[in-house]
Amino acid sequence: MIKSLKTLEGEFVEDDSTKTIYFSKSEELEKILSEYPDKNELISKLIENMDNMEKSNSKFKNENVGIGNLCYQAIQQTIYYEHYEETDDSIKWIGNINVISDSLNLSKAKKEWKHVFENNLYINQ
Amino acid sequence: MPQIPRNINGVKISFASTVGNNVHQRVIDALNFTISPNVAPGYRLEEVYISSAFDGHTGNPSSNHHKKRAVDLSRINKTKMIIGYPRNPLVKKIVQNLQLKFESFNHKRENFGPYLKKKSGISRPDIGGHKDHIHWSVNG
Repeated sequence: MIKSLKTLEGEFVEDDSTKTIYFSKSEELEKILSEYPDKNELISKLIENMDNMEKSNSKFKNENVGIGNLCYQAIQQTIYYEHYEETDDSIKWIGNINVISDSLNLSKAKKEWKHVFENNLYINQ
Repeated sequence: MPQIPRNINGVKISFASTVGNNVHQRVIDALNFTISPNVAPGYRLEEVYISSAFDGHTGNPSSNHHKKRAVDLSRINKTKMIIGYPRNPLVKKIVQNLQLKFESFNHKRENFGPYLKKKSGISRPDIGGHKDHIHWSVNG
């Protein structure tokens, strides 16, 4: 499955009107994910590879992005998590990353997602 | 507490299997206020998918889901927001208009989604996430 993500030739595109970055091959990615039989194992593998910096065939601004970025996109298409703080809900959750996040932020995000997954705090998309 | 109906103003409401859909009446009022087939002129809203109400977030007492005052929408006409927004014009316009319409609801509280992040009508760009679903909550 990770190999399929690596070879997917998509592009992360910045939409000018919404300032949103979307993945051009999200439907194809969805198909890859749907073929994986065990959803828990799928999520676990995706989280485990979130900080995988090996280059994939997908690009952002003509630069190849890491496999970890594909894994994060795949996680977002599968589950989500709403973060709350007791006293201040404005604190940003470090599990939310983007395609330009560096390896340190990817590692921090991975740790957060592991916690979310292991404690069953996520919502299915 | 009342349950979220399976049809609101002619729009089909579908639920994730984990959703506990008994919520505060004002959540249902908010859905009745915002959801309609013609919420985005030129496009037809046929189905909304509720991924969470009183269920998966219940472990966190800070969450309005825990208080039965919140609902999450993650698909429009069967398309996941994370896939359709902003590329699919129908999903984009319906998401935007749903969020704008909710801002006119008297008892609005949180309106976090791909298009807007507002709390009690005040813009909150510091709120992260929510590019993949709309989270609405209501005041008590």
